[in-house]
Amino acid sequence: MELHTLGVRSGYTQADVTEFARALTGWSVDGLGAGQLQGDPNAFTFRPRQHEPGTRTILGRSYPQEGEAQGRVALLDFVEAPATATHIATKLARHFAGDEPSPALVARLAASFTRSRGDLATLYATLIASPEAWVATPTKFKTPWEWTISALRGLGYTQAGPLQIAALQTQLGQRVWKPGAPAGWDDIAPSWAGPDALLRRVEVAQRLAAPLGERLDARTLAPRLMPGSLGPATADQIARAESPAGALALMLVAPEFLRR
Amino acid sequence: MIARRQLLSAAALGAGALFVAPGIALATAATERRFVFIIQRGAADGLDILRPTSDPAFAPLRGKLIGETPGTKLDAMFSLHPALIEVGKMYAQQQALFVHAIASPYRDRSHFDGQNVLETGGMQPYVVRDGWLNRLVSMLPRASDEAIAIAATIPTALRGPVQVASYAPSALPHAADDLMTRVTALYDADPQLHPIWASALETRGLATDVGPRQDPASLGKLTASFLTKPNGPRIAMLETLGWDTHNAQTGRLANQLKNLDALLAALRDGLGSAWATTTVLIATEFGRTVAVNGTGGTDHGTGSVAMLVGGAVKGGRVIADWPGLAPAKLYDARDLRPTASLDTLIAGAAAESLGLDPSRVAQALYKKAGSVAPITGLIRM
Repeated sequence: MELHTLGVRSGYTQADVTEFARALTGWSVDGLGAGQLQGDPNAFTFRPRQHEPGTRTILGRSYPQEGEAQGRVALLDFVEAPATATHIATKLARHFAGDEPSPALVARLAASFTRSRGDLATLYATLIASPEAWVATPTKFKTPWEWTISALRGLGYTQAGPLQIAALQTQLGQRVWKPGAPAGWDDIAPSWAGPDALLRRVEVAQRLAAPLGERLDARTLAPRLMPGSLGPATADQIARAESPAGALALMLVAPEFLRR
Repeated sequence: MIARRQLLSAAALGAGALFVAPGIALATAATERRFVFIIQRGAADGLDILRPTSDPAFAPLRGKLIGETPGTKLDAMFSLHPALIEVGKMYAQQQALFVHAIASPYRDRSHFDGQNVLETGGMQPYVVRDGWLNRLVSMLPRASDEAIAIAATIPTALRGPVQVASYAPSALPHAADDLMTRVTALYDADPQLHPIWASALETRGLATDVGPRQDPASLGKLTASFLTKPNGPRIAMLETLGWDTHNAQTGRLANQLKNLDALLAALRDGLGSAWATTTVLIATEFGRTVAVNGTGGTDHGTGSVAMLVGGAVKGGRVIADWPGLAPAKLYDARDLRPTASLDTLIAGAAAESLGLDPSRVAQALYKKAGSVAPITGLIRM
């Protein structure tokens, strides 16, 4: 309710949370638990014997359904709630159009969510058709994960090889699979653009670039990786670097490459 | 909002200047004092950390969890968790103080909302944008570079208009000086990256003699090394994770507390003579349920315990208006009822630690100015 549908402070109470939790009893993962080794750990399963019987009241509505249907009907009602449309629209807009997306974009996406009854593909189409998603200057500060992946791709790495990605992500401030809160990773710049985190990116950039100086020319690579956004000041710094590897490292920590 | 905040901090600075009576070198005194905030993320169980072993309801509810080790008896009511050996010594030396049945204004059960309220000093989550620790830094004579986060990124409590440093131990090889210089030029015109980078460079200069270790004792030592540099920061914040003990609490919490104990001992030892003017505040976003759940753990609750340790603390006591654990006394019929306000503790402890006026600090730190009456008499002034 808090993370994936209605969003925090949208009017539900702790009693609604526990009632919905009771409706979800029995929902499980196949192949989980003792004696379940035959199942498919990637599949959903409903365990009727673990389901708490009885009518549930969630957000003032009564759910007399039995078994798996009870949770499903409640979820479908959450999807119809205006709070869910705004919540999902805000998350999507923030991820693709900057930390403070325009209210117009959020409203457009929320309307799209309501109209399509939560069809995410329709929302994506609305987002793609929105001018706010196409501004020329990169607005979003990359998370350490986004930055690592884009740096590796930019340098042509197809395999991690001897790179210890998990250790690297820890140094960059984003431990793999450990967001620290059930809400997942923060999606705003202040969570990632700290002094220490920035210093680590420079150190990692140096390390990634070091073996590639003889193979890649940052002066031609940079305009290809940052078409439309590479500024003359950055291009100049790259061209004047001390070594080819140094130029590649500078390219990876350029303001234009730190953002998307 | 920004205009109001600037007004507040300007007013506070003005007042600070008035306090400098002839013959009293307050600015110097302020830099000799140190304040450290350690946040326990995940809702630390106050009832297990400082156990109300003389409450008749405690043993039936918690006996299974604490087993044969009730801990060090501190007073007629409370016993300290046995893993907190060094903290127990500090208590005996009157350098540790506990406030029990304490909570922030937050009354729901979301970790991140609760942490946001604790760190911003708001009444509700996400209403206040910057952190109370940043507002506190702005009240010091030398606001910039006065605080450091021992973390890769700046935690919410330290975020705000005043530039602060952050540093985490790194196992990476240092970047070449030439690259550093060129990066400086690269960020020169970028309003977001320039100040962050400037802070990173300065902190890097301070941290040359510390290793890349991330264990609790090394973090305590690292923090002490920053706080004892002649022109280094005087305020630090550390984050501890892993307090969300929904299952197997007995072993997990003991381990957590052992780490905290090691961190605090290393901080004390590293600070040396500066320990005498240091206050460390340790707090969590909310407590845990009074009853033990079906998996040997406890769930999200309300009231918990906060600790003040340090040579500056008027310690050796537990402050508690104990609400009791009988069913009728519980909050929401399940949690320790809060009878003390974390806001008033933070305002009082922060102010007295740094030689600032408690009511002015309370006003600057907590939006509902005036209604927060700071707890005083916590620190040796």
